[in-house]
Amino acid sequence: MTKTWSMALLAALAVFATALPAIEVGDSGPDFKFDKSWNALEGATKLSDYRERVVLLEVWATW
Amino acid sequence: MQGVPHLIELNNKFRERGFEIVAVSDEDAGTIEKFVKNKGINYGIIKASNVLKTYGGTGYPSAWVLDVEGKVIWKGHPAGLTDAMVEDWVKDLAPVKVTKEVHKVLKNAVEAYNKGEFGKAESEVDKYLSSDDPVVKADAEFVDGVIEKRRAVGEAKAAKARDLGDLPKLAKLLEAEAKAFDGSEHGKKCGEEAKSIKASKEFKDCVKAQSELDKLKPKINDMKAEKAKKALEKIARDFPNTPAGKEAAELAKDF
Repeated sequence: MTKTWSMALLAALAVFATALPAIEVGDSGPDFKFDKSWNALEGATKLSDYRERVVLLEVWATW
Repeated sequence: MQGVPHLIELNNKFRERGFEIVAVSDEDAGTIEKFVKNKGINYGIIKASNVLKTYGGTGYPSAWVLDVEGKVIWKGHPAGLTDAMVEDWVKDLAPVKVTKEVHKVLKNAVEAYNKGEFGKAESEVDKYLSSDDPVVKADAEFVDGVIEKRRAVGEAKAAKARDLGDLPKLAKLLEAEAKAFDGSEHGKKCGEEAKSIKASKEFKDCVKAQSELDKLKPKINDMKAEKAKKALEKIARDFPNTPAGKEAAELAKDF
């Protein structure tokens, strides 16, 4: 019984460890580096280079 | 992706006014490049990894809007973004860069503006505001409006610092404005105000309060609670109308 419980606990912990909390309104948007860019702001190599502007960050895929 | 025409439209309408699209994909560069060319995309496309995971997005497409300080002010599906929302976000921004094609006589003014030399831009524009050529006049008025907006943004920031009684911040802001607007009446005014603030007793009190608080802070957790509270209250009492004095009063409540 105890063993079953600890297995369940471990499984639950594993789930929590991989799921990052979502970024919500009011949070600071985490910075990230650009590997490559097209039509981006001149000289920008990371998101934080966009300060002084309002930024629409969209994550998309071609498919 | 159906959203492309919508984003192109937002980009065309608002990019000049300080609204930037950062559309991130983690596919290979060749695939992205082909897509960008085929669709005639003119907004910012970025290749980067793990962004969806970092932001905790649930699928494609997901979107977040960040303000000028990088704080999230909206999240959702990009199709939910309307012109009115973007208008509201950019209305108080000064365009960071003028990208509009202007008459060649105004190129110097635009170049100065884009370098952050607003005073120089202003004196360039002044030469053409009463031009007989309607095209030149219209372009001069456009650039003049941009400079005016930039000045209003600076003034709004200064007013905020003034309201908070944050004189060190106010002096710093005004000095930066004086430099950016060097050569203009506005720049001169900012420089004079910064100078008179720095000479005032209130400013000196702010600086003194801040330095006393900075000295106290690293020691505070090793002090007896009662002693820490007293030291904080003394700063609050000696410098009641300063940001550091107010901070000390707040901190004293925790002891």
